[in-house]
Amino acid sequence: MHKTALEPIAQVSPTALRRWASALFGTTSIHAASIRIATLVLIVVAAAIVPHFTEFGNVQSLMYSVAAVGIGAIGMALVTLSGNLFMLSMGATAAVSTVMFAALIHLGLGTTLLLVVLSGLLMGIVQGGIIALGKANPIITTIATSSIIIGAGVIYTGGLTVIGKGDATWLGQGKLFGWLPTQILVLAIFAAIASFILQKSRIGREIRLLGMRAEVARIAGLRTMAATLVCYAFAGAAAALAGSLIASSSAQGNLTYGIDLDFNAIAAVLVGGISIRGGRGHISDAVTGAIFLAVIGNILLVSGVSYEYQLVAKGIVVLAAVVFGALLARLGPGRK
Amino acid sequence: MLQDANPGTEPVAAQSLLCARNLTKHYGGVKALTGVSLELAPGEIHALCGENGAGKSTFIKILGGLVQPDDGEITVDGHHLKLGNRTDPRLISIVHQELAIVPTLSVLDNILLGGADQSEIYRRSQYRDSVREHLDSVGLSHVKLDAPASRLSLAECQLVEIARGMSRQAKVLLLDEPTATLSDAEIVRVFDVARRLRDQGTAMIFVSHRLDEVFALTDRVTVFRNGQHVLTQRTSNMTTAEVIKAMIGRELVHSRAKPPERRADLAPRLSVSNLTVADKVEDLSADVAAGEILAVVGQLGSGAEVLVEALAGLRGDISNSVKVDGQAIKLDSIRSSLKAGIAYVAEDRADKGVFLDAPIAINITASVMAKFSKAGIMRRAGEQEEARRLASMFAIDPKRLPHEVSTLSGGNQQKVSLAKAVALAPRLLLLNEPTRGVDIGARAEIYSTLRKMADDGLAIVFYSTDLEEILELADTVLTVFRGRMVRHKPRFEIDGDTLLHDIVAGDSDASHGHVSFRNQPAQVDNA
Repeated sequence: MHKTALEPIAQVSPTALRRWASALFGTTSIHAASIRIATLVLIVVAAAIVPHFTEFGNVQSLMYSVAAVGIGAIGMALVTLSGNLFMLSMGATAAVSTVMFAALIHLGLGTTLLLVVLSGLLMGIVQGGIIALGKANPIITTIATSSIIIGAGVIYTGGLTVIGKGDATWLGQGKLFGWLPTQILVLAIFAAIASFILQKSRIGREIRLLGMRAEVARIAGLRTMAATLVCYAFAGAAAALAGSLIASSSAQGNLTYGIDLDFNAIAAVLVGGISIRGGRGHISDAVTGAIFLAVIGNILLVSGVSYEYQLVAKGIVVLAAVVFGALLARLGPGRK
Repeated sequence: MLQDANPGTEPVAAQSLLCARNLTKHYGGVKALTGVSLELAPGEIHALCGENGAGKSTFIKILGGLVQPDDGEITVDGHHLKLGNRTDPRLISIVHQELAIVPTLSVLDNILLGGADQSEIYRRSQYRDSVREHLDSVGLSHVKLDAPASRLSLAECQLVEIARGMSRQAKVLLLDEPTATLSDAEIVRVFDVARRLRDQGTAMIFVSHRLDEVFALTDRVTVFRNGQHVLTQRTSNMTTAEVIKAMIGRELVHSRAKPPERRADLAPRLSVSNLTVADKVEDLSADVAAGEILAVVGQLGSGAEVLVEALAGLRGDISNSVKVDGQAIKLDSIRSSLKAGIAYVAEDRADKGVFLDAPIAINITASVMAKFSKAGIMRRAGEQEEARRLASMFAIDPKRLPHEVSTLSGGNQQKVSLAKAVALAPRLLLLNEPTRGVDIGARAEIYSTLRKMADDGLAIVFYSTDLEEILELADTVLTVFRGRMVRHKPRFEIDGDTLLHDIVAGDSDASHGHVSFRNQPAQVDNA
């Protein structure tokens, strides 16, 4: 096994299998490749045997369920890649963002999106600053800020639903060519930006190297503080954008909307095959994880399985993915 | 919590108390031990000597069951050990070189930790009297049983470890550099304890870098070199010179041209004046010329390695004591030292030196990414070329550049670590143990590359505990003992004996006044 987390500079001479795999998936991690194959197989099988799976309405709802979680997972992926495990304030940020979105939508969709995403970015920067400068534990810091964010949200709304007085249909229900939800377009653009930063930019490489081994990065003189800040800023913005997508479909904001983004994003990151130890993985892995989970949830939904059982199934899938990843890591040569 | 120590033993016929036969251990391509055998008689103190990397620690770890050997067998007091399982502490007990003290536990609990009591209920009270006795005998009568270990000094922690080793009443006691942190008075006490245990029939292996201790205490001496057994002799039949020769494999005769002439009109490349690092280095001054390779030499804990780390910006603000090319520089962090043209290669490759899971090329250019980025975006072409240039400089196969560093041997990993620092085009290169765990071939390549760079005007300062390396590579040698400089001389004016004497005894006239230097507050860090 040869997991290359950073894009090789010159062409590695790959085995036939790997060349085939990388041509198809553009990936180098066995775990991530497996999930990609599994997702394809799942979709094909579901299309063949699950009734109503391929119906227009169902495909639409599947795409809508991917969009917000996918964006959250991309933000979470950056935090995980930088070696800071998970950001547990993303759900709170998304929930408060739905409220902000509804409260501001009368200003127009573009302005609202900008303001909401910017405030999420700021919340991320504050948390990143506490973690990078204050050397605070990332899990504890984000749990604490999560409580602050939700508390502030309740103070503002009194726990009530905020009804937006404006038009968010372009984002909420808009479709390109009559079938592609604009939310998927937003996801694609967001993924492209994150991927570019991570793969091509200097700060992106610093993020990966920091995640691989923080002490080596520090001694090598990398900008570790800036790298941490960028990750949390990006993740905060991602949570806010995800919240905006959720709020836009009904032009309403409520602190229960999007509150489970933490778990869903973490699940997507883990299932997608991004290493929890940091440094190893791609943005596309997180998106694949989100698609995989959405497809499973959708299959259960159209098969009439109730929400409780969907939750149980989701948990089992995440556990299986983590165990699978751990087994792969142990079987791989040259790795403890 | 009680350890689940599986005795894992079965009786066999016995002659000596401990008998290790044909122990072999390879780590990847690195041979840590090859076919090593050793026998211990009851009531014997047996010195184990060898340079760093000779295999002493691996040997000790195999005896303790912490490392599974590839081959070989061990019997203790007629019991076959199940290798790779933790050894029953009643048979073999180890006093570790790295302090194995839990700072939050009491002294009593620390001593009972992992002991022979395997019952599920922890009854510490019944051991109080015997533990008190052991503490008294190592000179810790002033230490309370219930005091947390965090209140102990470094030396006291070491003595607690020794008391723990005694309390196990093991047949065989392994002392892995037990005196490295102790003052002379404390060492005398430890020796008394060791002799008493010997008279009771305990067999001991005593690992030490200080040869004077070996001759003062031990009955027999065994020397390892490069993972192989070289000799076992009665200590009284040996001389210091003979032991040193056995350790490094040949007489210490090296010839090197004189160090580069210091040009009077040029400011020295590096000028250190009155450098003090709290509790580690006192009032140290030295100059290094461009093109000069300076070895800073001293035992672990002497402060020699701290000097190199301080220059790398790892030990706080030393701006006031350092000039580079005659100019005062800001030196309070790693980034400020990098900015001043000082590059540092850390001693621990895996944890500090290289990104094992990143490609070699990306490792090499990690510190100079700014040079190859425009508006924050990496420009691959120039970066590739630079990686190739540095790889060829260190004889790293350029075809392997896209591969991960973890696929390389230890020696080649070290070359990557060096290339990463050299990529900065530094004015001063700092090396901490430049070839630890590196095979002989790669070592020679590294030396010749470093020499070439020095000839081109680079100043190099390195810390090493490898005597051969120091004499091979250095133009000038600076020895440090207990935080103070002992000697600063050109290499050709120093021989191995002098060097060893400086390291283990300091400048004997002046050194004894500074015994108190070692009694610093406990610094038990779990990092």
